[in-house]
Amino acid sequence: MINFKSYNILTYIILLSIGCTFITCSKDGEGQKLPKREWTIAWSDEFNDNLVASPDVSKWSFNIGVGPNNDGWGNQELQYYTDRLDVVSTDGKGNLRIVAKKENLNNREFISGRIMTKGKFSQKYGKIEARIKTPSGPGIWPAFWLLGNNIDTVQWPNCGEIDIMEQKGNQPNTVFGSLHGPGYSGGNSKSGTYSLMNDRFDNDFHIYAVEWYEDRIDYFVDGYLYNRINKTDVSGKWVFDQPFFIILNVAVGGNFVGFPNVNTAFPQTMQVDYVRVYK
Amino acid sequence: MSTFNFSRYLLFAMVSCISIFYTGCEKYSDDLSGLIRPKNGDVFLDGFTPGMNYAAFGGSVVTAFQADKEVTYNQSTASMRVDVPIVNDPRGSYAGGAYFLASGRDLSGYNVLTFWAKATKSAKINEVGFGNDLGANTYATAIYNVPVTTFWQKYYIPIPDPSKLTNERGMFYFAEGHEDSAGYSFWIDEVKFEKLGTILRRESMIMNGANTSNNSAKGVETPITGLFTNFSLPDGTNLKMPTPASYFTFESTNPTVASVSNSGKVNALNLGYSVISASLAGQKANGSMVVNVSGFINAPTPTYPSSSVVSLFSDNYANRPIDFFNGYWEPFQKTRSADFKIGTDNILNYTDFNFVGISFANPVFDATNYSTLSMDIFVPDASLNPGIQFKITVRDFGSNGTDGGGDDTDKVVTFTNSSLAAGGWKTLKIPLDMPKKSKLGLIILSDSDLGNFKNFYLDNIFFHN
Repeated sequence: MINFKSYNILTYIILLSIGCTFITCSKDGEGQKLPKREWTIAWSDEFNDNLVASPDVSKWSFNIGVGPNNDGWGNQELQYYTDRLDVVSTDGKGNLRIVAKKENLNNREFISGRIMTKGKFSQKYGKIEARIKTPSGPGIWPAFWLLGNNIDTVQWPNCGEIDIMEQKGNQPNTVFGSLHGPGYSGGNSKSGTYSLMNDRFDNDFHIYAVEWYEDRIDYFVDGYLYNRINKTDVSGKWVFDQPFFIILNVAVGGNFVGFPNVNTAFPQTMQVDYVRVYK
Repeated sequence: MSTFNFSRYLLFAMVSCISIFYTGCEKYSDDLSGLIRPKNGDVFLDGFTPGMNYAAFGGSVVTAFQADKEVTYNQSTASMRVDVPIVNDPRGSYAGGAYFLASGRDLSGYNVLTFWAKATKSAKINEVGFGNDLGANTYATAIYNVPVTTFWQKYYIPIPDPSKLTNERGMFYFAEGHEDSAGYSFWIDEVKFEKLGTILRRESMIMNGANTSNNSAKGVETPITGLFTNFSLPDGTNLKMPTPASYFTFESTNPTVASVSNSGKVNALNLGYSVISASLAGQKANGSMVVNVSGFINAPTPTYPSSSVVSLFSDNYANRPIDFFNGYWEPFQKTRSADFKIGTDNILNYTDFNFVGISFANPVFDATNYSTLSMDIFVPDASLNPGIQFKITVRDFGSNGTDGGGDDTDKVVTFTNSSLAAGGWKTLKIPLDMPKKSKLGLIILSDSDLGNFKNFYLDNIFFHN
């Protein structure tokens, strides 16, 4: 999820070519022998309300509207973000749901939701994971990502951005894990992908995670390490040594994913079973 | 793509069997119970799978299909080429045919039929599918208006419920008419059944997913319509696919009031109401129909003396000779007839209506001394759809006494919602203020392009003065 900045078709193509480097098909870490890691739970939301309710205000706040510059959050996204209960809520069955709908609101053709822990929770380093069933369809762009706490003072991309999970709804079998910082943002971000050979991410829940260390960030799907970005791999300054906050959203349209068409089914729902942060 | 609909044609038209490919390579036995059926999913790769028959559909150009060794997908040995005729081609009005086996295969392990296609120009193929076995076509399933371009692309025809296809003979079929009067060619290659995890079945629906209600009466049969299944294709696009009733399991909450058949026909049996719902592959379908069975309301008894009436359809008058009440003008017409009789009262019942013809041309009728065509109409829906435009055309055949020839005269009256009643009878009057009316032979009933008038009964169709 690129924040507060648009980028052009050329860099988008570059992003795609970068994204081809980590395609793999193994599941559940089979064949991987990773050193044992010990994590302690530091924060979580299990979304276990047994009723339909707005997300816990002690943990989450909403982004509303079309972005501070009226440019679709820097990406030409088409949706208007709202805090309506039918768009963002617990589902009463143990999940958070964010529902993208084709509905006019404030001159936008679509509505959807975006929630964040900004000002309520942030952490430096550790393991951040969520169990998510993603939506799909041309123009649908679900994301689970992190932004640096200092965004309001240093601006994006100097604050840094860790995209734990992004998907393009027209490639429902592929997940993108990316890193944005000064000199390597937008289409020049560091990015890796993981693709299922004969399955789709929107067919079931999957666990998306990063393990964030002083010197690297490792990206996982269902426990499988598919992308490792070392401090020495980025072309600009490493800005991932300060606390970051969490964002969950479903965008409709935009530079990253392209735009919905007549064959995009609505509504599209992202279900989040839990978000867990470990130290 | 011409705009007509082939589906009924495919189901009922026959068929000249013009060629059989690669016979003798695969042995079938029809007389063994407990036969293990082949699970081979190949249809056409470098040629047809063994045992395949081809039959061109009736009215089509029978030579439209041939194997092509020049243009193939991914350098395969051969492709299927279809040459679509231009408009008014004397050889046939379209290209279409079915590829079928003499004995069935077990396709329950697959979830989609895939193929690659391209064409000499961008076009939309009317219909491509499987399950047409030139017999019952029980599980015939298709995608419609398939867009093809000048480069090869892969296409997907999902199987609504693979567990049904344990003995399927219909491997592939197509039907395509001219594009804006012009002919063209398209190629199809690598036709095979596959099991793809990249295709997801979403929800199924009856009655277009709506909870509808219907005023019925004892003895009346009403079809469940609006049957679709949503699939998400590998690129995330949604395919809303028409789904034959045979894939659904129907249920009636009160079967003594209204029963529902495996083919989705609801029969009103006793007074009361029942809710008809359905499931597909164990998943409940969206939509339902509440059937409210009442004592049947007969059409009002006409008051005109029989001396001033010439009747086409009535139990109150003697009727003149009629050719038909539904011409089944394939392939354009979709309208079906489900006529019924309550006691001694015969009722015409048109379902899936788009247009229909009532012919009485042998002999033609001289209406010189008659001022009006009258008919009673009953709309069984619980409410009228907005904006109905129900058009009645009365045709005089002119001096040649036959339909066509440039000398016909039409009287057209369009009725809107104010002339119709949901759950009740209305009488429609068509004034015969025509310049010529000595050789009437045809009444055409038609709906507007909106398609919002699907189901009605008629009674007491007669001319009077």
